[in-house]
Amino acid sequence: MDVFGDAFTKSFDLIISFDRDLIEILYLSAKVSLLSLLISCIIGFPLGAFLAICKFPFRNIVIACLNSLMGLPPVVVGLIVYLYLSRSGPFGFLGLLYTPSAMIIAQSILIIPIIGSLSCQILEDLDEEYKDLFKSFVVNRTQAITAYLYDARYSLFTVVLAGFGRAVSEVGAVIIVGGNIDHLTRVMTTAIALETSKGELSLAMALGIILLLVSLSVNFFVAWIKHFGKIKGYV
Amino acid sequence: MSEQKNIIEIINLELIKQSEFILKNINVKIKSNGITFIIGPNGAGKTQLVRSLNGLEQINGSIKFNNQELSKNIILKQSFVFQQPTLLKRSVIENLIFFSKNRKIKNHIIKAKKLLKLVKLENFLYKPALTLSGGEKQRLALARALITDPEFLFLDEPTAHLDSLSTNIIEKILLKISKSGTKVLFISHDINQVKRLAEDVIFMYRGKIEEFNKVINFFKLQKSVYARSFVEGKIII
Repeated sequence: MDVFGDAFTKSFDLIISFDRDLIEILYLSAKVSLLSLLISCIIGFPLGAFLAICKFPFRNIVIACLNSLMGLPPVVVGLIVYLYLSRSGPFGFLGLLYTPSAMIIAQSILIIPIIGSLSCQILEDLDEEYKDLFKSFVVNRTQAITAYLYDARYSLFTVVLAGFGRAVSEVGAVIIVGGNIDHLTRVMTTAIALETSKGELSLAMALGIILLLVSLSVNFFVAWIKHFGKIKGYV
Repeated sequence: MSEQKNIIEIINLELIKQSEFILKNINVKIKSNGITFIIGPNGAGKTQLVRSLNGLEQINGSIKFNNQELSKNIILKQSFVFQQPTLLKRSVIENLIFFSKNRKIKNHIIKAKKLLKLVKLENFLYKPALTLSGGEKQRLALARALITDPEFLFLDEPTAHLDSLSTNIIEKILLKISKSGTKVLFISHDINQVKRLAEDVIFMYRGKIEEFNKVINFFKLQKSVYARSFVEGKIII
């Protein structure tokens, strides 16, 4: 218990003193997670809306594939991105390996199916509700997709936060393509893994506590957003 | 009497769903200016007929509006008020503005406000539509249907389960717009309402039109046995 007690004390000291290394790691984690989330939303939402509204051959198979991709093993994604970005790979000339950009790419690949698939399910339900009305008013596809994305905003926000949760807690892919380089590609999860293996539990614990707080905050925020939508009468 | 317009002609209409005839051999020409009611027991095909007129069903046969075959351009001249109003998850006024904006209607915000005043919802402009009562939702659906100035207005039991205030508001508006040239097709189970508002009546039974007559003639003497039983309030199977 002393080990835990010491680790907790040191970790709180690090947090309270705004330790420079800690802040740097937090900043990079937030940057990588938020940028990959942004890219995933830009691609995932229209993809989900398209799959929800447009009927085409093998649509169900495409949706099933997208659903399956939600469970992509991060290390496999990391490995594939690594192969593509390594010197001998097709995109090696870009020199992105072991940079935050590579981490963003890997995380985006992991999050796009989550955003796309969950938004597809939400928008499919909304399409079921709206389709006769929109057909009756001759609302075109672009107008319909815009309306769906807007009217499902509260539910979609929870999808965004689910994506963020996955991004911020991901370790397998970012450690492969980022390399966990100090002051360059070290994020919360990779730092926890490294510090734990070194036996430096205080920094690992401090990051763990922050990660837990982020995760809890996200969950509370999701619950609050849903509640807000309900009391406002928009859900 | 105003000049005859907005003629609806249905020729050999059939609707088949899951290998079952929902509508069969529908032939009718509606030429009257007033409100045409569609009545009949549950499962007679009233809703399916109106949905077909609005292009919501894949049909066999021909439907013509003013001698023009049903097309996207014709549907743009129609509005449909569904039995269960589907409202956007937005404010009351946004429920109108979304559609008027898409149709590029001039002064659409002013028009939306006028219509909401007409249906007595002027005090709820920015209230979320989903928080309205049943009657208010249906009045909003009617206002929304009118924002595009439809030439043909279809209503599927819009006053079912509504209180007398909401029913009265809706009926007054329908009488007014039918007089101003909009052809109204109204599905109802309320015989008294039919007597109050109808110009003519279509009676449907088991996917067929059993009778189509002027309201006075229809209630004087029903040609069809089923129509007679329906008007007398007898159960018809």
